[in-house]
This record gives sequence, C-alpha cells and structure tokens, in this order.
Amino acid sequence: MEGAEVARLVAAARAGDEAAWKQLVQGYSGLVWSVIRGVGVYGAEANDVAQTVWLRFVEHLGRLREPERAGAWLATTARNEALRVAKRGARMVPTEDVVAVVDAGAGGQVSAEALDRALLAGEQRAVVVEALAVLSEHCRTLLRLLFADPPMAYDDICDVLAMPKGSIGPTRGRCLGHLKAELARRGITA
Amino acid sequence: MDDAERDEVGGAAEDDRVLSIVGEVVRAEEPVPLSVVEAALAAFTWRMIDDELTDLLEHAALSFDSNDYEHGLAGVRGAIGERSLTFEYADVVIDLEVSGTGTDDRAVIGQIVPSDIVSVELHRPSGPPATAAADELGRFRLERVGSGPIRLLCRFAAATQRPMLLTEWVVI
Repeated sequence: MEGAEVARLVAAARAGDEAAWKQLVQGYSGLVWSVIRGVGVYGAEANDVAQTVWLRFVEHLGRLREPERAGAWLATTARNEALRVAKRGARMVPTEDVVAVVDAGAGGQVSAEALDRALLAGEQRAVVVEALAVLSEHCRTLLRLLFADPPMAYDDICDVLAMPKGSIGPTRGRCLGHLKAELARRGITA
Repeated sequence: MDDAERDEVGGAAEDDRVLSIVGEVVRAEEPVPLSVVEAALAAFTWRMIDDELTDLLEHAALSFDSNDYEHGLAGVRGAIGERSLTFEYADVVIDLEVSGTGTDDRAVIGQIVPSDIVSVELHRPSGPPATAAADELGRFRLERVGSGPIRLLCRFAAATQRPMLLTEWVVI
C-alpha cells in the first residue's frame, strides 16, 4: 500500500468509513501478527495483544502524526505490547546467551548445498524455526520486518526497533551471522 | 582478490541465501487466525462510541507498568501475580493494582489523584462496561474482571469542570 493511500484510508476510517477500516485490517493484520509471533507471544495472549493493538489504533486514527506511516505505528505498538506481555512470562532468551554461543566458536560454514537442502526439507525448516527462536528478539523482529507484506521502508523498520536510521545493514549482517552460527550448531553446515 | 575480500563476497552471497530461507520460513507460517482478524474488524465499533464522547474527554497515557521492571527493580512489585499500572494526563494520576492470574478472577483496585472523581467505568472489547463508585479518597475496586484488553473511563465531579479521562487499552 502506498503512503498516500494509507493516509486516505486512515482519514476515511476516522470519518466512519467501515470499508476503509476493513482495508487497513486486511492490509496490516498479517504484519501485526508476525511481529507478535516474532517477539515470542503465543496463544490467547497473542490474541489479546493483537486486539489491543487494533483497539489502540482506533483511538489514534485522529491523532496519528504521520498517517501515511500507519504500518510502522502498528508494528511498533505490536512490538511494545508483545514485549510487555512476554516479560510477564519471562520466556525470552537473553541476547547475551546467544552472543556467548556465537563467541564460543560454534562456527561451521553454511554451504549453498546445505541451504538448498534446507529449502526442500520440512524437517530442516523446523530446524531453521528453532534457530530463529534463539536469536535475540531484536534480530528476530528485524528479520521478520524485512519480509513484511506490504513491504516496509528501512526507515520504518528502524523506527519500530528504535534503531538509528541507516543502521539496518550492519545489524542485519550481525543477526544473519548469529543465525548462521545457530544453523551450524544444528548441523546445517558444510 | 585477497582472503578478506573473498570472505566478504562469499559472506554476502551466504547472507542472501540465509535471508531467503528466513523469508521462506516466515511466509510458510500459518496465516493470521480468523478470530484475530474478526476482533480487529470489531474494534472499529469503538470509534463510534469514542466519537460521541470526543469533545468531553482526554486520553491518559500509560506511564508506568511494573511488568517492564520485573527483572530489575526490586520492591516495585507487590505480592506475586500483582501488577501496578499508572496512567497520567496533565495533573491527574491514575494508579491501578491488578491481582489474580486466572482468566476471569482479576481484581482491579485503583486510586485517582486528585480524588474528586465520581465513578469509573471499565471497558472490555465486548460486553457492557462494569462500573464502580469511587470513595472520598478517589479509591475504587472492580472484581471478577476477565483477562484481556481493558481500559477505564473516569468521570469527575461536575463542579471540577474536568473532562472525562480515558486510559489507553492494556492487556491484563
């Protein structure tokens, strides 16, 4: 969705146009859900967080500073609320643990062949899911947002993650480095 | 091409491949549950409700949540399973203690300063609101609240000429 179109839908929903609201929900419910899952909140709690995000969005329709960036607002709110709920359950893996694992020299090379095999095998896909799960929340959310549908601008991704603009590249590289090490530990190596 | 350069080129190609796997995994996830989409669509009914009140109310933003400090700040949390929330607007402070861990046995105890509030309405995404009267110290209590998103609408004594205050939605 183009920024101008998003701003138009926000204004229309604000004015009471339910069809515009429906389009916003259809456009962004996948993004909101993906961010919540990325943080590591599941089940009834994930439903509660998603509902809260949309309830807050209704309240903010007339108060968004940049309505054309509603997607970034939704992703940010989803992340913050999911993090709050996740802390309650304390199910998050501290970043330090992951760094320690990487530093411990678990390095193995990830070959093109191994990765192509991973593309094919469902079992290995489960391994990738597992490897993603032990990354820091920050990395996990970043990697997910890179595949947001509709696509998200890099500046918006930086906002959601409270990162300085323009810092996607190095962070992405670091996160992929962690992921490769985690895949290697799980036998997806050359 | 020296080793460092070669590593870099190989690393970039490898990064792209790992990234495409992440993309595949993310795209292969089960879609958003229908119930979640339906709840999002239904949230719109609050727009009409809020619109009727909009000239009469102000929004109180969440300024403190004990959940944010669970691991660091000793002494912030009360008994196990108790949660403190604070909302603020201008000079008004709304403090809440939420206790209970089941799905329908939460108790919400609160105090509002300044204390000249008359009543508090607790909203849930669906169903009628629960109402509690406040005492002379601005204290109120709501029992048997279900888990999930809630918000409070606080009404002040007419003589104060204060607007109604609406808190942000929070998950309890």
